[in-house]
Amino acid sequence: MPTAIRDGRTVELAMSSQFAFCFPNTSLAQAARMMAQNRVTELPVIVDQRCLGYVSYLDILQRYVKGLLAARAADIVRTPLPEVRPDAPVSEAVRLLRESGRQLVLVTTSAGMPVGAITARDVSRPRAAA
Amino acid sequence: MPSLSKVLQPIGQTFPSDRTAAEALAQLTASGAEALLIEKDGSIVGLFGYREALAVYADGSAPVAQYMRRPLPGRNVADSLESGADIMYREDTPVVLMTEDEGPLFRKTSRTVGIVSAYEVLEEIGKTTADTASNKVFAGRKDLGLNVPVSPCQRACPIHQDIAAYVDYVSQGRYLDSWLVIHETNPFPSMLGRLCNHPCETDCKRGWVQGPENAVSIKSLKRFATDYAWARRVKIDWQRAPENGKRVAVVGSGPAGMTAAQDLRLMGYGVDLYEREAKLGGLLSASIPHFRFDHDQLLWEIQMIVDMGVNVFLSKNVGKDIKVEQLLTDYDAVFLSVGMMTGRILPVPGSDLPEVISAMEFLRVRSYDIVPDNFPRGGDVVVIGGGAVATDAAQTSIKSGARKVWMVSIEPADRLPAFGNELVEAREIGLTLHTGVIVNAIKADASGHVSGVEFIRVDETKLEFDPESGKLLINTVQKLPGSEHVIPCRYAIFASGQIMDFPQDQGVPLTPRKLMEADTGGHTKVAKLFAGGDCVQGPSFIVDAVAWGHRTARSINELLGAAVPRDAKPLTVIETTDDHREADYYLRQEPPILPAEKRMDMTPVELPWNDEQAITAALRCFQCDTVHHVDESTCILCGACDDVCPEKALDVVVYGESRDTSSGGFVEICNTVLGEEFGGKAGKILVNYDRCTNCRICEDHCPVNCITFQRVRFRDDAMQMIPLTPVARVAAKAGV
Repeated sequence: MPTAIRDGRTVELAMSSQFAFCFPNTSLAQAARMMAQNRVTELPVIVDQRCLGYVSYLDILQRYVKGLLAARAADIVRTPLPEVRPDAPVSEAVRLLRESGRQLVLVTTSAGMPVGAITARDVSRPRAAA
Repeated sequence: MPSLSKVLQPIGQTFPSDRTAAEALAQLTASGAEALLIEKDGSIVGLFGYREALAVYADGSAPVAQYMRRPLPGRNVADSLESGADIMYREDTPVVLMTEDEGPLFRKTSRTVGIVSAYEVLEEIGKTTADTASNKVFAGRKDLGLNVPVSPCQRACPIHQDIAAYVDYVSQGRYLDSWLVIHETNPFPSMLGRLCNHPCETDCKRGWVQGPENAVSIKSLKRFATDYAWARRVKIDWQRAPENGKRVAVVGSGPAGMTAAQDLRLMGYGVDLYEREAKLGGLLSASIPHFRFDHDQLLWEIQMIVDMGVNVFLSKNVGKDIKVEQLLTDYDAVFLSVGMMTGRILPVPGSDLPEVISAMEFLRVRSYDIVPDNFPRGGDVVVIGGGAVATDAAQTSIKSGARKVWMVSIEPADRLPAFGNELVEAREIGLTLHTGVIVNAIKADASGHVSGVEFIRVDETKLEFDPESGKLLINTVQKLPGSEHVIPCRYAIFASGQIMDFPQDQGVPLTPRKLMEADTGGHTKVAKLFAGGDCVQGPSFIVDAVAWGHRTARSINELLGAAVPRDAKPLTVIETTDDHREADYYLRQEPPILPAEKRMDMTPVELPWNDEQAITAALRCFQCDTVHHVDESTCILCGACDDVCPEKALDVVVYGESRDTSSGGFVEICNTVLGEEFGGKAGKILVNYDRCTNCRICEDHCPVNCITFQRVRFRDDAMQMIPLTPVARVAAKAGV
């Protein structure tokens, strides 16, 4: 069983090009449904092929408790969502995930256009195989 | 109030706390679970999920207890869902242990009976929260008390045209109204009505159902409305904001540049438009052969923009004649939309011969109605490439008098990137395909002129294609030695990609692909400098370029902040729409094209529709932009609409009664207390617009006729239609 595992892949190979996201005008109830369906706790908020930030499940839960769910993603968007380039090594994505505490890092082109997302699950799976 | 027992999940797999984290990760992955519960001495002591597993990346040899999340908060299964949500929020944990009391009073103990994860809580929140405005409804519009859905086609369109409205206007015979709606966001409907890649049709609800149904012919309807307006010789006179004194230079007069110029003029900015060609239009007029569109209509649309007061500088090559630095000094903002107008010629032996040309250059020269030097009328031509540009070049060669034209590509015939219909059209007029080969060399005769092109076969069984874009992965191409062969010809056209022809010493940030570096709003790293269109994202579709123009104009206005609101009267248009269910009798039609024998010159090949064809095509639209309007003073909440809805998209909720609410609807269209004081009902009607197909059966079956379907549009009166200035004068003035 290896102890320290090296991953030579690039982010592009490890990321998921299909990922759940919402729009600024997505209602919080809709965002909650999307999180449940896609088994994620953070949803990137995308507009005009740019990422504004993310919606956290914690904010939805808090607003649910307070009865303030009649709002939209734009009202609770948190920033920033860390971004990484597709040609960066996976270790860079891991560093961002650990330092930011986020569930996912958005993979963007140099122009800021999201092309995928890389999650703790994406980087951990090959570790288990190793 | 739901309790946590409603979302209780079994404990699932546990993992001993003294085993290593790497082993825990292996089990976590194999189990497919979100997280493992860590067990010690028979009790749950923590949680190990993917977030914790990140630590294993560095070292996974330590016991999992060192990495797990703890303590794991607990709640009683009888507690409310809010209580579970509250503890998750406060403890920042996605999992809560569920306990149950056991034992007699005063000696109660609790035992773990399961877990509740955030996903179950979120799912329950999503189900039970009345969402008064779904994703389909604009927030700002809802504030006005109106449900304004965004139809799937409008959402898919890069420039978000109000498609359902203009299609409906065609069905009513209001062709000029339709054309005006198109022009609200689309300055080039004559081009996009013929050449758009129409992502709107891909998302059309008509095509969602498997079977004979097909999407509404949105693109062709746009062309029809535009043809009608062109035939009536009208133009749009925009009401512009007052001049604000700021000046913007737009470099390149393609769809992105022209769109930005129009938007900026509307906002009151002075716009100087620089174009290196001797005519406006960029790719539209210089790369797309004239048999694909009506050139006069393009001039008409360009002129409408020029007439807004755009200063045009033709044959001015920014980067060479004028430096970008100079423009940045002279103007408040500069927008570079220079496109990718230069074709790439592969550096194979013989590629420098005089009869070798790039497809872009060939089409550019032909766009001036000139046949390029050395073009062999009556001779053979080989076009190297398998995409849309190659097809255009091949068809243009045939129409320019070549005897035999080959189109040669690496991809097999069924994987060619060219549009299928264009390929069929080309083959009908004599194009010969030769696939599964790669160019090796251009052969010359003794006098130094092209005599043929040598190809070598590739192993087609090894070719792989990108699963998303469908493009060939070039690193999977393997040549088969010994399969070299020559196709005799006197002219070779390379349609093997495009590059940006813009000097690199202008201080414009570039990407490793040698494209301009800008974000999707057009901002570059240089102050006041914006870039957009193909020169940023690579070769793309016309409608994408128009979207770049809109976005960048908005970004420039955000930077300069000088726009003064137009003195236009805001209009809220509410229209009750017709029932279009008879549309089921009609099938999708494609516009006819000229028979092959009449397509041997540069005459536009696509024929127009007549009124009947256009109206029957428009009637097929489901009008996804219209919504139920329920007269709350009449509705008796009888539930007939709910009962007859074939899509189960409606729920009639009557307070005090238990009725089925399975539609998942959350848009409230009626909330009435009619008759409550007489012992009658009070309640509401909810709709799921993701299910509703606007079939209007509910409208038919309503016993009190309280349901109608309405469209709400927001516009202003800044667009006026006026007679067109004679075209000859227009063209001369613009130099196009």
